Amino acid sequence: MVSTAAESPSAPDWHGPGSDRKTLRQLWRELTWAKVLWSYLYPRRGQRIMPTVSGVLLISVAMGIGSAAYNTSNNILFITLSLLLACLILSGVLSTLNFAKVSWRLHATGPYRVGQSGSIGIELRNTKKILPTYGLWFDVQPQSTENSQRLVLRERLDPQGGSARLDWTWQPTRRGRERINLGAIGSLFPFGFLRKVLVSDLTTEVLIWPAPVEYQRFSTLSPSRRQSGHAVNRVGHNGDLLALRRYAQGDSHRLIHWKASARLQHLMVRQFSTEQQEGYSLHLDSSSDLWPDDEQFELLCSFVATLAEDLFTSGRLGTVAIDQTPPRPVRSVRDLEAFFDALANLERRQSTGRPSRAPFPINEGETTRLRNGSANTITLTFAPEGHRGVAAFVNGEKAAAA
Amino acid sequence: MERKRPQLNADDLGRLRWGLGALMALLSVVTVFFMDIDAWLLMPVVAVAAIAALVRPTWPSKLPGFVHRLAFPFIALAFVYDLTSSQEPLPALIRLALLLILYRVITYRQRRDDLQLVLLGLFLVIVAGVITVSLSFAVQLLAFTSCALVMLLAVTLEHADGRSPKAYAPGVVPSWTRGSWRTHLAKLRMATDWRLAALGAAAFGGLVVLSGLLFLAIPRFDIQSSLFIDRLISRTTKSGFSEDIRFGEVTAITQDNSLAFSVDIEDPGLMPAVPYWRMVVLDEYTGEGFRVSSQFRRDLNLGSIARSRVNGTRLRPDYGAPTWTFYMEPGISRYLPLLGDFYTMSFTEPQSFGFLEQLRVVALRREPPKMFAYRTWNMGTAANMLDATFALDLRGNPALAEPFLHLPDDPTDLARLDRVLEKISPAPPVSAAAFSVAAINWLEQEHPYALASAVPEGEGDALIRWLDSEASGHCEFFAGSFVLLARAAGFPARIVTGFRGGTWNEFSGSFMVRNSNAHAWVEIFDNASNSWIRYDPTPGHEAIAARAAAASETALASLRDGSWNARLESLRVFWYRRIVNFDIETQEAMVTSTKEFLQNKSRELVAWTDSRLAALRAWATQPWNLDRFAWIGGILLGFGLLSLAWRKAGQRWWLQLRRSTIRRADQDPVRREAARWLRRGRRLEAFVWPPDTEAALLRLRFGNDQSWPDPTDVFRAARQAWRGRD
Repeated sequence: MVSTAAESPSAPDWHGPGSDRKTLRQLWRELTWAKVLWSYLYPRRGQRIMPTVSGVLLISVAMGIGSAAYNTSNNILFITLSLLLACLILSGVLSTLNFAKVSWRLHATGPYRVGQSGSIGIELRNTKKILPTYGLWFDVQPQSTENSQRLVLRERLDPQGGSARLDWTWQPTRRGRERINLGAIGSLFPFGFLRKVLVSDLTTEVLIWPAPVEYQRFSTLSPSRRQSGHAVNRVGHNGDLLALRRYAQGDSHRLIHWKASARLQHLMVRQFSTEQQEGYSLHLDSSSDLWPDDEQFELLCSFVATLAEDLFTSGRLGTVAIDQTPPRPVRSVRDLEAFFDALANLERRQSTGRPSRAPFPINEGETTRLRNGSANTITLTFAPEGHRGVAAFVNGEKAAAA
Repeated sequence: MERKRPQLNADDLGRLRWGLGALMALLSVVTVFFMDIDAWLLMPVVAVAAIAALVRPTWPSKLPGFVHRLAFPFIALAFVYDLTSSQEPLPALIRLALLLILYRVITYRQRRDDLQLVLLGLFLVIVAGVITVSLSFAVQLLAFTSCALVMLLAVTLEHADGRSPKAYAPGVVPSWTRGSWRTHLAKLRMATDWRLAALGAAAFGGLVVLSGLLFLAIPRFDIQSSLFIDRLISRTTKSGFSEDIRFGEVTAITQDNSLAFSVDIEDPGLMPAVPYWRMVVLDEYTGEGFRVSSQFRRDLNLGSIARSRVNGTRLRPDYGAPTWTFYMEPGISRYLPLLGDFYTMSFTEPQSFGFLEQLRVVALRREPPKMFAYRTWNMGTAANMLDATFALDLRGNPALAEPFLHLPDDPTDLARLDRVLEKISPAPPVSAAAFSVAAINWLEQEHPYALASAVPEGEGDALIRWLDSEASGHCEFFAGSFVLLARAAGFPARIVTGFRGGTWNEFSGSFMVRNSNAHAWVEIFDNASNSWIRYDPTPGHEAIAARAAAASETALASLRDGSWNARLESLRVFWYRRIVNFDIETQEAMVTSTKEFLQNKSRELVAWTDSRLAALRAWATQPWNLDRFAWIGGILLGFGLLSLAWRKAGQRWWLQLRRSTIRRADQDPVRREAARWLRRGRRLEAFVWPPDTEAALLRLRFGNDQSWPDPTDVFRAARQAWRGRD
């Protein structure tokens, strides 16, 4: 698939302790004893520091040694007790330093399609001067699922702007908008005694296109001549040159006839014989009267997306239209992605109270130029087939079924 | 361009963890060695296994599966058998810990196994510390803690998600066992930034300091339970002074140069030039040596109630007298070294002990297994020890002197002794002092001193045979001979063993007595003064003592020790004095002294400020004349010139100096300063830089340094623009 997520943000904001670019002087000014003490009594919401199994063990050992020390007034035990307590304090300090000046952001690098693997990236940055950061984990969870996925930073995140990226490969299960939550960021660093967790409300929204489905073609939707072995001598010479025509948006610059353009004072392009072949215009009726069943409607979206993709790949996709919106030409990958985005967001139209006319023919005289300039279009409409299936029709004749 | 440091992967961390585990096992074995526990077979086995695991990490995979299945049942059975057969819980527990460590060393460990190894090692280190209370505990604890922390760090980084992987199946070789240590260490070195390593070392130093502060600050309560693990272990004296000493045993102790005890005294000038530390007083001659007679021994062992204080034989206290604090090493004796009689003696915790007034000795019920500290107040240091009770009893019942007049029963031996006595003093001696001097002189003439001594072959009592010969001898022969001669002459006499002399440690400010100072001397009862008088019949010693007593300052100076050994031992004294002996009283004293120190310093500061202000006022109120104006003008002019020089050349020089020391381009101070000014300008929305200044700052920030304007001028202009922003 050659498409990009049209709605994914390109550079989201940084989050975390390192995202706040305050100078040391500003931090110093804001620091007050009351604030520090209060932060220990009532830690910031979402910040949790819990002892791990080894931490509980250490605390138990420290308590045992402490009680033995007090019972016997043995200074050797007091030394051991103070060393264990100092280890706990050092662990807390190093854990705080590990998180300091580290920032992260979620980066959705689409496209995402139901049933196909996609990747969500967590970009990390460490702006500390000397200390690297180690051993962070990130709990990522799509809103539609209950189980979160843990991504672990196993490598050293170098200081002075060192960056890393953790990729989460994910297979969406439903079409539409999906919120990805970065639920928590945690670490056991340095000694595994304490589990420090920062609860995050960082989310990103991604758009999930319908799944590709298998479908059956009938003779009406025959493949193009080019695909059946039509020879091409040079790139851009798809068949014989028929005529020159005016430039239309989406035409390749290679096809511009510069001499003719200069003479006529507007851009002219070469028109080849292959442009005469037929193109298809997809018309989709999302009426709930026509598609009362949820599963069938999902199948419709998937079928339309798959068919559109295949027609576009073979250069025979002219326009696409959903319900009564004007047909939009699909000349580029961007147009196809926009159609997929529309399909991802598509919901059934409310019932009008009367049955839909689908499969309905295209309006008389409404023609749209194909990607290669042809104006011969055939309208594909869709209607339920049985209780579960979906069929595509060309002028009332079944052309494909899923 | 800075070379990127390699990353440590899971294999590197696993290898590091494995190596540190083996090191910790070795450290644990060393602690058991210090404890003197009967585990002489287990210790080398664990050590060899740890070294083998370190050198060849692949060999644990060759262990058959049944070893792993049977390991814990075997260890449990071994512990039960050990406990029931030895009836000593602590040694059995220590051997159990060693067995578990052995198993952990020869199996591939997971996260929880590493934690178990840390806990087992910590247990051994703590038990060793409690039992030995030696300075080595601090070293062991620090070494063990550093290894454990690095290992836990490696474990955390290896399992950063906090989830433990499955245990390795028998026969499976982990991937981290591949490669040599050299390769791994080289990668570890390359992956470690020196600044990070320095910070790690500083963090560990901070940990030690923090634990020291916590140790001082932890509130103490004096609960003083009497039962603890150091009493669950029985130890034997390696060298020492017991109730039954054979000739040569004290001399054998002198071969050991280790520290026996150290003494703290407030005023070093009060230390005798040649101190004689009395420990055991032996009255009964056995033919092979001397021993404490059964009656005295019974009296000594009567004391069973634990007390932390005992009153001595001095009747009247001298309130100006110093306190002597003793720190006696373990394995010396259950008899406590003393210079003479005392008014009071106190211990850090209640002790069961016996105090025998007749002999002036204090003996604990059992030999202390660790360093033992006690204090005496008002202790006598003189050579004669008043014993009015004995004198009075003797007048009433002369038979009471019998223990101190006992001689061999054989008439031949007695006749031989009388012959010798006639040589020393043809006429009956008039006083104990006169006899002692004559006997010592005779012994010195007849017998040279030698550490390696042999008794001539022949019949009869060995000591009398030696006395009747011209053979060389050690201190015990001289002291024993003197006692027999004195008793034959009718003077009650007894032999005393302990230590003679010592050195003054200049670093710790304490008196150190070593085992090599072990000595035997005598005490003879003088009816005239009702005192036991100390004599040292070993040739040379008495003369040295006399000379030293005559010039005590010179003698003390000759005792001063400033060697490296003294430095090391001062550490030990510090350990005993400040750490092991730290108690609630010391804590209170420390708080008080800290408070006083701060108060004194604040008072001094206030006084200094007042005096400066007064001086300033006095100076200002003096009559003003031309000279004073000239002085002030000169100083102001000097400051002005300095300021001008700094502005004209100093700032540039300083900037050039800083630029010459940078390592990376982004550390250029000029670029950073320019960036700072630009950032400051951006933060204030209403502020706009003058175009020239902004262009110059941008050029300094981003432009080629060949095209830079003078940075000092640009920054000055920026400063002026910033000040005039309103």
